Amino acid sequence: MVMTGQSGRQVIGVVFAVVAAAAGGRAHGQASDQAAAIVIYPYVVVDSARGIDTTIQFSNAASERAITARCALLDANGHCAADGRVCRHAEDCPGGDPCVPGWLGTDFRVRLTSGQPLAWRASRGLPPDEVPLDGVTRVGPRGESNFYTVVPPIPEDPFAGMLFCYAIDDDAYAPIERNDLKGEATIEQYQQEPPRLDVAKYNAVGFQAIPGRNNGDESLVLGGEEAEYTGCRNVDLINHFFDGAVEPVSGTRNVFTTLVLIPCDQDLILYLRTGKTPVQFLVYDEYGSRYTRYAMLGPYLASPLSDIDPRLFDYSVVGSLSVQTRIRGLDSGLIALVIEQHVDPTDPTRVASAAVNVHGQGNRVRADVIGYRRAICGDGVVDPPERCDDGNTVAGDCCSATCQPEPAGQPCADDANACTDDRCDGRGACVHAPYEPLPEGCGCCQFESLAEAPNGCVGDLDGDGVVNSAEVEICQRFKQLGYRSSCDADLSGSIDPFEIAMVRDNYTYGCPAGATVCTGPADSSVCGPLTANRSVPLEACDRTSPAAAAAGCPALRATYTPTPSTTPMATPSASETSTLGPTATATPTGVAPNCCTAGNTPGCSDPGCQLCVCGKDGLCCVERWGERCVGIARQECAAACRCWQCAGDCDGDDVVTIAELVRSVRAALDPDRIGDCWAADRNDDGTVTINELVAAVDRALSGCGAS
Amino acid sequence: MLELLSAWTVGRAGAQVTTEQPASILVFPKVIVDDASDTVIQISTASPLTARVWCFYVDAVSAGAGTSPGLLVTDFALWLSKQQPVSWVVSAGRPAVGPGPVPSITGPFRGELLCVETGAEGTPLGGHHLTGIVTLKHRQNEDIAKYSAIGFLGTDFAGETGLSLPLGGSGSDRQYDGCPAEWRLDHLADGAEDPQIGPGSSVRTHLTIVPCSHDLITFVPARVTVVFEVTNEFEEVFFASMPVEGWFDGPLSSVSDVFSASRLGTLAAQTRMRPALGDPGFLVVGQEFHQSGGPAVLEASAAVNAHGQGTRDEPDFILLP
Repeated sequence: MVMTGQSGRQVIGVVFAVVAAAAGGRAHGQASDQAAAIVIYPYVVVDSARGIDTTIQFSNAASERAITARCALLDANGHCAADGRVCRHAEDCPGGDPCVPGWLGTDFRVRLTSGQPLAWRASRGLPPDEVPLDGVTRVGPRGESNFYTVVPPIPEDPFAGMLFCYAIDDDAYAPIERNDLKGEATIEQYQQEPPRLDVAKYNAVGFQAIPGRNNGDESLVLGGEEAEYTGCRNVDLINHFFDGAVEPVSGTRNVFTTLVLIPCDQDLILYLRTGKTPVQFLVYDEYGSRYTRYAMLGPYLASPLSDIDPRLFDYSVVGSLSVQTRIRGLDSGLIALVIEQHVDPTDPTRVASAAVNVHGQGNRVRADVIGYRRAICGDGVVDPPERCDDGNTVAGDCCSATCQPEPAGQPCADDANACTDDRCDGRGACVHAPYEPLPEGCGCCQFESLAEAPNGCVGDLDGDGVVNSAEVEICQRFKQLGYRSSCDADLSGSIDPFEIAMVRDNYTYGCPAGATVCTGPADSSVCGPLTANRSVPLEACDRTSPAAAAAGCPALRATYTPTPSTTPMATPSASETSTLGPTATATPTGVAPNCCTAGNTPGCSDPGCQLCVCGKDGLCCVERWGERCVGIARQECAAACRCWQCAGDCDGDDVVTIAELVRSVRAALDPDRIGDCWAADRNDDGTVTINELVAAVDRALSGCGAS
Repeated sequence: MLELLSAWTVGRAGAQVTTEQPASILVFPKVIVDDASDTVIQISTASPLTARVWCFYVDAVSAGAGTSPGLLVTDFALWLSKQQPVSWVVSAGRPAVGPGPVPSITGPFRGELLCVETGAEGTPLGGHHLTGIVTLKHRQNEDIAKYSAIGFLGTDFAGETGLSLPLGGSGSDRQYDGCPAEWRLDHLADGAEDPQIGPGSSVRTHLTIVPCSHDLITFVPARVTVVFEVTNEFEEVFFASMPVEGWFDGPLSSVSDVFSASRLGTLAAQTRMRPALGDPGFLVVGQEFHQSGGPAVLEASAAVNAHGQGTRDEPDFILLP
């Protein structure tokens, strides 16, 4: 039966209604003007040097229930192969270095409460302490929160890429069929000098879930026979002006169009870049002419049209103002965005921009697929909605068996440091913070410089509140080998004479009241970072200078005067015997030895030489004038010290004994033991040669004569 | 208020307006011509055949000044060949060549442009071949903002009632898609500090609202009361309403102070908009203005299409002359 006229139209109308009802309305394919289950921001750009940033707006269109989205921020920057700098073309790299395309993804999760909007700048992200409903201090009226939300900032600056988000189920770790996500992006450029302000805004592109179609595997199928979501368009249509055309209102700017194209096929597992895809451009001008172009385009394109083809889209070639361009991906579907820019020809940095979502026609027959990684607890990778993943499914290690953080404050694995408290941080990690208050024997340095601290005790290496002679000697001995933080008061990396004076000051008069000292490793990681922060370096502090105090040097409690050791600053007690350094030969007490003779009392008979030597080794005037001090005297006090005139006379007593010959030989065999007998090194070159040994033997046989 | 609140029942899920597909009717809600601004219209056809486009400038503001409420309407027709694009500056129009003449609107003009795809004899068609883009241009600072025309897809029944075009409705013989039951727009709180510029700066969002129903015979502007539900980042909800007669364009803060940064208390907000019960549907476009502050104030703007949700059960009508 042939139906015609009114009856025919009635039947058609019935069929249409049935089809429409079954489909739940017209299947529009991708759309940027409706809420969806997948939203894609094709163009996210940051360039702080040019004052460019992108504000992301992301909201839940459902007013009665929260929704969680899993997101990926994809970095499409290329990098020069040699130095890794960001590039777009090989011309951006020095020396012909290739520009290697990049495609790096950063996963994160966002939870939106009922009807909630969120906004963040791409350059800053949205850290957990800035989410509006953190679930700790604030929750929404329904008790929901943004708990678990962490939006990272862009990984590098400049940045160009895209943001991809899809709705997931909190418990099943899988996509859900909820078309409640919507988003917008605002690209803004602001500079004060030269003054620039430009704003462009677009809607995120959405793909709606088709109810009942998601099979829970690790792929999101867009369009096609097995469609789980609406599909990509068959053709994208853009209405634009030819590049370089004069803007028709004021006539003072030239118009250019930047096209952003990304394939619908995406790999969010390994973030493998899809290969180049063939794209067809059909260009229609206002005179009815049509132009065709095929191009192989990479997986992310953000380029002026005239860069794609300098002739096809150039106003000066075509001569038409208006154009309709139809774009079709021959392999993969495409997501497109257009940014129109009006450029001042006299100053190309003056640009006015406007973004607009493009039109489309038809749906692709073939499916496009977005691969994603399902969260697997215990694989060591934190995939939302996991909030931690320590590589196991064991509880009690701060990350639970279901990859959720265990309560903050829960005890966790001991780091074998008695000064630290080992507890979960509530975010899945076991942290080792110093106890508060610190137990005895532990130190914690929170100030920038020990010398600056009101309670710093320079030289108290073991933190017992006392500087003993051993600690003085350690600071002295190791000053040239490296620094111990408690000796190096200004953290300059070396222990200078003034710091030794401070150590001796504390040794003589005791540590200042309430002093604490860092006892952690050399880098003081237990106590926190220490930094040098002095306007006057301690190396410039000379305790003998009247201007020292005015220059900002810390004041010592005693003004040091270089006096002979008949008035020693301190006498070592039996319990403070130093075991370091060579054993000195004893000399009669109460008599200051000459500077070339080692003794058991501090100081020597020549005040000038004593001053020089003690400036380099304070122990010489604190504890005793040992071989070390004699060695320094030989170098610093040439006029006062003639102890090397008798070869091999190690102790300067004008007699060369067998023991001294042995020490001379030992010094000859090992230059590091030159301090055993300085007198064997006749020419002060730091080594003892055969000739010098012969000279020593000669003196042993014939005597030194008058010194 | 209860009546207004009870309007928050989601409309029937179904076909609704589009800003991304070729359509049979295009509405350009915001067209401005004055000393400071001008507008560029771009229309193209996605049809492989010739398309006739019948357009109407609807000035809803000038007519009301000192006279009985009414619309000023200027119409013209274009013939577009296969996939042909055409553009013009509203203040300049187009000469009588090519697609056809477009009258110049010398200003001041604050209103909309409505275009309908018709057959050669002028009968509306459900061909859904038309796409449209608007560029709002500020003459002094050269700022530009673009939005897509809002499109109504036609069906095979389009034009059966002649020049009376029903939009939406629940019948099986619906001629055109309907206006959305609800609009959603994400925006920043009015007067809030621009998050990138910082102190001294501000962001304001202008809304342009036009009723879906158009009476281009008697020129009586349609009236609709728009109900707003605003949700901030703390999930706090605020309500407001505003009557619109023919056309509205203004900052959110002129609608109600609930949109202000001081009331909302957060930077971001999501606003749902619906007509009051029994009122006609409406169309929305937003434009966000950023101002830098300081001694040399800079200003830039961006336009954006709102999201539509659901469809109205009752049709709206465009009555063509």
